[in-house]
Amino acid sequence: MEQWGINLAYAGIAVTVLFAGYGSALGVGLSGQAAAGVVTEDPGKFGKSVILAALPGTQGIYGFVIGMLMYMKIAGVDQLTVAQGLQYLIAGLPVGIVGWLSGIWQGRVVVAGMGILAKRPEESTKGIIYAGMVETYAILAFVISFFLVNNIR
Amino acid sequence: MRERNYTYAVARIRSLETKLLDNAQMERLANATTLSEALAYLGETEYGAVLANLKNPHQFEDALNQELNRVIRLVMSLSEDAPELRAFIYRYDIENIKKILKSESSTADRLSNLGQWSPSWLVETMAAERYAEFPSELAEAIIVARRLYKENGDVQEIDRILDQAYFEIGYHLLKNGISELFFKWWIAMIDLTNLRTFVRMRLIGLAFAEYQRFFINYGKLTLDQFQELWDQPDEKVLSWLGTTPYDNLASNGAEVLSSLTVLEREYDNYLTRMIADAKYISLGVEPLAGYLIAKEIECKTLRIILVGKVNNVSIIKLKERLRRAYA
Repeated sequence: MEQWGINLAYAGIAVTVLFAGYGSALGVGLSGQAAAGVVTEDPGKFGKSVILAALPGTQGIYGFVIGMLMYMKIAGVDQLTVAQGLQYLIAGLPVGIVGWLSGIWQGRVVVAGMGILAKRPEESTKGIIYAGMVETYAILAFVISFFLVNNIR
Repeated sequence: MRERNYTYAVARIRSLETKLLDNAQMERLANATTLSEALAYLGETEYGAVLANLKNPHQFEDALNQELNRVIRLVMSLSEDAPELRAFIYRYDIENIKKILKSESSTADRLSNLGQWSPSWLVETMAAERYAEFPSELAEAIIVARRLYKENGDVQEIDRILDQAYFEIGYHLLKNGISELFFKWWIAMIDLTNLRTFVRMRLIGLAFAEYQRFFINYGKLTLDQFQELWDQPDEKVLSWLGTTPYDNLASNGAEVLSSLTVLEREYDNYLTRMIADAKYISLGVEPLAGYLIAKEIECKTLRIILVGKVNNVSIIKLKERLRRAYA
């Protein structure tokens, strides 16, 4: 029973990194395929397509940062109460879940943005702005997770 | 294929759409004074590669076919042979089958290579009467068409039965398919084909009973509506057309009912406008079909222009026949 607290905290790290990473992997997968489609017909657009294709990758990074933060806080601690373990698990949920969903949806926005890059390369910054709107919510979730983790005593 | 799996294909199609000819380029081609001038301008576009191999300028038909074939194969491979897209290219197979049925000695080199099945396979399969290898609706239609043609020697029977089978196959394929836009587009094509037959037969002065034989089911416009209008003056038909989803055609005035050239143009324009909605779909099979149809209409318009140049058709007349570009 004394291990439950630490187990829950580990579960919190896993959930945070896993969900946010899954969203990013899927989002970058979608945008990477779209970028490949554009570059197949017009290799000169590689540079601009990389910027767009990389955008859904940030959710995975946010999840990783929160996961690392949690790990550093519990590293060397032998025991945690169940309540503390649960707090770690709950603190990871915002960035984990929002990162998962926003990564996928940002990937879809980037796919549409690749259409702008293909047809009107001079307007491709607008595609980045649309994708950035989705990013806002991942950042908000990251900030909340960050404060929650830091607030665990 | 899941919608998500079209990301590469759609992005590639978006790039290819930028190479489609727009209305201004078509006008410039129509303004060319000679065939050579038109071909020289066309050579500066995406058609440059296929036109470069032309030994004789009058062989432009081969070049257009080659280009269309390239696009069809590309779109089919990008969609991993999506059944919805097959409905769009069956028309070439149907035309090939019609040719084989009308002339039993047909050889593969006289047939189009744009369809789903290779001409040599079609000739061989038809000769061996292995109809089970076709979709069931088509196999049934071939058997009926062949029997009726043998009985009365009327080639129109072949056209009638196979055209009806084509629309029926497409209807069933698209009805249960993944795209609502395709299904609506197909219904519109059926309605406009019925309208075109209606106008053509009225102009020739045929009886309604004849029209009834050629009427294609599954459209929104019913046979009863056409029957009521059969003996009515053009004004009445036009005002009825204005109450249907095809009211755009009525905006051309009575000309759409008296000139087949205008009707054909408006038929293509309506369908292009409708499939152009695919440009706003970010993921899915629709942009692929949109591009395919756009390319077909583009080749058709180019054929009109180039044939016009060969036959010294006036620029004004040519411009009247230009189709609206998808780009």
